[in-house]
Amino acid sequence: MRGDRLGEFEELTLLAVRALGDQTYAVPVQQFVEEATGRHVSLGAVYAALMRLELKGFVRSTLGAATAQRGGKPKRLYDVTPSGLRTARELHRVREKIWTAIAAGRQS
Amino acid sequence: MTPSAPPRLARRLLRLIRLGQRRPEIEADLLELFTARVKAHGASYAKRRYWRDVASLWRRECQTSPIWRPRRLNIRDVTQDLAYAGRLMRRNPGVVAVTTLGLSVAIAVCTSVFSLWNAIAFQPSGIDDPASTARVFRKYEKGVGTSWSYAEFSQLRDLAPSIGVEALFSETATFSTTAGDQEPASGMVSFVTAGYLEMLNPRVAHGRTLSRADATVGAPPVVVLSHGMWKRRLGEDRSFIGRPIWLNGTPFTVIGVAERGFRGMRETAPDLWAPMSAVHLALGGPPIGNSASTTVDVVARIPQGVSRVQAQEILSAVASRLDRRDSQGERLTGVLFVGRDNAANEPEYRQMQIVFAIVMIVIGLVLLLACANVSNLLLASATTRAQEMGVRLALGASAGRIVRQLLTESVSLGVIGGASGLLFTMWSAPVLARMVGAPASLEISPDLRVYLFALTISLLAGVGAGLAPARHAIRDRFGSALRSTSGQTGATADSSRLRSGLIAVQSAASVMLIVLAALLTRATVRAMHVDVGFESEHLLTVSPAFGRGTYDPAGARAYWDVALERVRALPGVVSATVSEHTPFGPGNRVIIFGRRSARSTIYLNEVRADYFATMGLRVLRGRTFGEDEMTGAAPVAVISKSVAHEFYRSEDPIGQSLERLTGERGQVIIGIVADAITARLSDLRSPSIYQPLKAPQAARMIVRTASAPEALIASVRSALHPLDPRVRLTITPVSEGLRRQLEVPRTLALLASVVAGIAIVLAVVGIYGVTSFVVGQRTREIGLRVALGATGQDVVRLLTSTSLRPVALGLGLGLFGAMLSTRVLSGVLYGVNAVDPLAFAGATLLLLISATVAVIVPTRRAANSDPAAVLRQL
Repeated sequence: MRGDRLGEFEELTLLAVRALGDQTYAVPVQQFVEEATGRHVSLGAVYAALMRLELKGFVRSTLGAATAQRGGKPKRLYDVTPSGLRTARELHRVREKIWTAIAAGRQS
Repeated sequence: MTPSAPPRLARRLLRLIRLGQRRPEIEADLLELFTARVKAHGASYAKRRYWRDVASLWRRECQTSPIWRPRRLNIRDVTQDLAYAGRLMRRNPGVVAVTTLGLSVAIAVCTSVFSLWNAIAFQPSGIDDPASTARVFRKYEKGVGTSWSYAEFSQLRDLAPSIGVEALFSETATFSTTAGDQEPASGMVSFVTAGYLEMLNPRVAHGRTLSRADATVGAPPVVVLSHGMWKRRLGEDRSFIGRPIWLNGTPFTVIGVAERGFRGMRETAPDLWAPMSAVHLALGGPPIGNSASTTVDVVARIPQGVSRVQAQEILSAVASRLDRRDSQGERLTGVLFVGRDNAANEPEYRQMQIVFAIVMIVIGLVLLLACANVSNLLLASATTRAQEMGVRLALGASAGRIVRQLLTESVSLGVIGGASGLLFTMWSAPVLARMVGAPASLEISPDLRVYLFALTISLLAGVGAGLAPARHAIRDRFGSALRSTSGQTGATADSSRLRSGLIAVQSAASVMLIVLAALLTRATVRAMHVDVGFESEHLLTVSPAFGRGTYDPAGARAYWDVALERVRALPGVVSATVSEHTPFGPGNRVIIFGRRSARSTIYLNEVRADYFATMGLRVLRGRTFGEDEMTGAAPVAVISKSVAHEFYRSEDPIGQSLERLTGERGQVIIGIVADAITARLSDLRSPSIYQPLKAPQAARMIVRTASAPEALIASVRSALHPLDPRVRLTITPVSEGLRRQLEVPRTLALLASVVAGIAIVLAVVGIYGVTSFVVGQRTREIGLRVALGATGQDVVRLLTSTSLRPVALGLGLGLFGAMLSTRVLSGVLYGVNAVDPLAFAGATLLLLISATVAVIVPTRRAANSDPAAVLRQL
């Protein structure tokens, strides 16, 4: 485990959960990441990323109610925690800073 | 449209993955994704992705589950262990060399035997369904025979159409790959009937097999090569298929190469198979047919749904109706089916099994010895390293870790031994094959199975040798080794019993091997000086290969008459004769002869009258054959002295008739000659009956020379060659056959001596190691004894007697075992008593002396140590 830092795929997963609005589950996340990146993403990878994110405290999950649509089977719903949000923003800010520096370097 | 479902196999697989409580949600997720994908991209895409998802879950499970995660072997530990083992070996190079040498010899011998066994037992005969084919033997009132006349065979075939009956016979022929080859090689050709190869259905390596069309009269002559011949003679060149080879000068087209290992219904593969319809092209004479006096072997295919017994009954009924004129004058009572599966009951195989059993005993002993030795070496070194182990344990090394290190050491010894043993096998396997008389066509070159065997026994030997020291090391556990500085390890009585046991085993094994080696050596020496009853150093034999049908008896007799005349005229030739069998030559004819209560085997030989003079056999009573008796093949016989002695005792055999002999009635005994050993050296009793030569086309010439016979080979050849250049002459000195006979005991003796030598060295090293160990343990006790007034001699006496006790025990066991095993060996011992006192006493003395030396050297060193220094350490 890499402490509270995020791997690339974990970051993508975290952002997908955020983007899909809270109370989302693995299927939409998989679809979102696949669409966003344009590469095949296996469900197992998504589960693993969600599990690691949960261990790091960036997302939390609740077991949703069983719906008739899924044959009476429940789904695990994920929310981004405030700490997750903070980390994602932090990452974003770091990147932006770097890109600004790059842009500044080009101008000069 | 029915909604498609996820692939069933993938769902099953999913059920095998341990998902715990999350299974329902995961399954629902997968299904939802699947449905969505079907809608968006179609069913096949969805199925493919479903598979991938399941696979990804499986992979994740493998990575996270504690059950699936392989326990990581720490590479650093392994290299450390190996480095340690290497350092240990460097520290004791001599002992390690001897030990690995022993291991490698043991492994080599085991592997050689295994590769031979592998070749015999595992390599298929190449026949698809061996149970459904059988050789057909003829049964008549007096016994069982193998050869049928061609006329009989064709009647069997025609009268029992429900059973596939085929025939074959083998003949030597010369073959060459170019038309005008002056020195063609000779080999064995199997001439077979139309359906023979088809019936056995051999797989061919290249080309095709013989078809029925190839076997019709007038078809272009073709041959199928055996794999061995193709490899040996043609260098595995595929381009020979479709090209001719010349059999006795006639071109035959090569149409195929049989698969490696295919030998047909015979024990040994011929060099090639040709259709019987082409026999006259290769061998001359008339085409095959009922009139030809050809004898064949008959084989049968048992049709499906018919049992072997039923098939045998059907053929028996046919056989008993056969025309007596075609049946070589004997009334057949039926046939006997002999399948490949009961060939193991044939005597030659049984003898091979006995030799195998002996070799297996030797092997077991040597391997045991080698293991015991490596074990002892490691045990002894464990003494010096007891402190090191103690420190390791105290610092937190696990027992498993220490065991692993010790096993690494012994296994690397085993692997080194195994690797060099395998190299040794390349040489020893063919030697062993020759020793047990395996046919030359047997392919004994090691295959994967042999390599795996060698690896397995190397590892087994390694682990086996490492177990005792490892157990000893962890038994020690904490404390005792650490506390002690004098090398006292606190070893239990148990482990010293183990060491004594190992010593006893080593002593027993080496004593057995020494006895075996001594007996075999004595037997060889004795065999070399066996009085064969005639002067064998100045004899040559000339074996001509008359083609089948080239010579009738009258023609062959004429050939011999001229040949004898020419050879006798050569300078340096004392005399010459012609006989059916030559001394120590190929083939013997043996019958069971019985008269009154006496019954035993007797050698038969058909000879010319001058045979006895040329061989130098004295006529003891009566006379030999007269000229008119020779030409008329009169019913007379000459017997050897031992026959007269055994069967007639006080009676006078002269004038009596040998009515029981080969169905010919009333052969009158006209003379008695001196005994001569001409067949097998091991058979010191050599009763023979000589008859006038009736079949000169199967005879050979014996030439007595004044000086070394080798010098005359060329002149004999040039005298005989112009007689008929088609006849291929093989000329060899009789002494060569004699030497070949000696080869078996000589090789056995050599092998046993080498093994025994290694055994004794191993035993000495082992005893030395253990004694140093024990003495080392008792240093304090010795110091005390010396301090209290014991002399060095007292100490030596005390320690020696303790150390030699297991040696004495092993000696007793070994002598007993040797007595049992040499009894089995008596067949190759040439009259040496299996319980030869000299061999047994010698072995005992040799072991005792070397063991004493091995014990005394470290003991004296201990006794001479300074008691004050020892006591200071207390």
